[in-house]
Amino acid sequence: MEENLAEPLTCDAIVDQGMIERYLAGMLSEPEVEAFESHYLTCTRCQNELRLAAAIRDVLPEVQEAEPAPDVSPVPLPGRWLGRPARVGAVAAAIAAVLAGVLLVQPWHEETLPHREPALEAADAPTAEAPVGEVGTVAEFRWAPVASADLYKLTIYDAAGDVVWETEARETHVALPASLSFEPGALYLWQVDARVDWDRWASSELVQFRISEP
Amino acid sequence: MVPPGRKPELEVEQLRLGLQIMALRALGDAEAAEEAVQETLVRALEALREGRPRDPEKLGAFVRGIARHVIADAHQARRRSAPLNAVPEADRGIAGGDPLSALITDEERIHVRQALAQLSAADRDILHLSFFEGLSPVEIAERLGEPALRVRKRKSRALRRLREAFSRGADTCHDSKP
Repeated sequence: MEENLAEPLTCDAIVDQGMIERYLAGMLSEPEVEAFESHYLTCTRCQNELRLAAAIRDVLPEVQEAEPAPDVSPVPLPGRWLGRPARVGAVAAAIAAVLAGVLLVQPWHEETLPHREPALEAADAPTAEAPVGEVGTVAEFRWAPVASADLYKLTIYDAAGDVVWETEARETHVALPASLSFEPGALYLWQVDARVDWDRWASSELVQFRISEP
Repeated sequence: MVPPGRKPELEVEQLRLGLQIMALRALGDAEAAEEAVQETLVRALEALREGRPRDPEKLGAFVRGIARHVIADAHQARRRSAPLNAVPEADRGIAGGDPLSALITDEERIHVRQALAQLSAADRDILHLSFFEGLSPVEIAERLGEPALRVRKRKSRALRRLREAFSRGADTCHDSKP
């Protein structure tokens, strides 16, 4: 879908090609990025369209969460399976306990980080907000902020306890990359850790979710 | 030497928003982005006062080149000061949510939220596939089993409504300023 970049980009071509959406989704090629950025640095119209697009990306997930699950069947794409050994013993046990209906708070962190300081107050732990339970689609993960935290670490597990994806964030929400998708019907779990002090992390509960089957 | 008719200080200031967008997207951090923008503007102003670039049409590409260097330096500086327990970059997904949300006012966000809530679920699906998966109207049409022209029109109409709501949010913000 690469535009003929020998010609200067026009605003109409940018809209027709969906370049703004693809730019923000990280899907433009490097030559396209170069051409688009060179254009919008001096184009007020495209700057405003970019801000509008950012507002849509910021708000759309929460509006969709509030509605009944949409009937969108994603094309399965290769997920980003990290495949490395999980923090198996403790996490697998925690996941098994969650599946058995027992709510657990931070057990595996205390086992795997013996140098950890005394338990943090409940108020220091982040609260996972979305996705929870059965959902139609997942575009982002969201949690309540922790006042003293300067960094968060999101980890997603499959039912076997293997890490599916993990990332760090400074905000309290993370958008999923387009290359990652979840298998409908399969159970996943996720947890977010908040860095509340140098080398001190507070963990949310392990929360499960599942994408509705079509 | 500044060519006649050009006003470097004005030209540079008009680049600010575009540079903020570029820096926020690249660095994902408002503070780091603002520093990068300031540094880029300083360098751009120096160049403009020396009469570079000679062709005003090339200003965007020229300043982009400066910004890329500044942003690359900022990335290097962050890597040097990254905490020991940071996840290796190769294993990271996207960090920080949507960094451009720092450029949206609360009023604009409220208006867009209201407008999105008034769209049909089907229109929101189209927007989701467009803005989060980067799909073209043709690809969306294939996914949803609908004619491409209908998808294109629905998307265009939805964006027109959102654009109007967004403008109202911007107007509200300006009106409320002292």
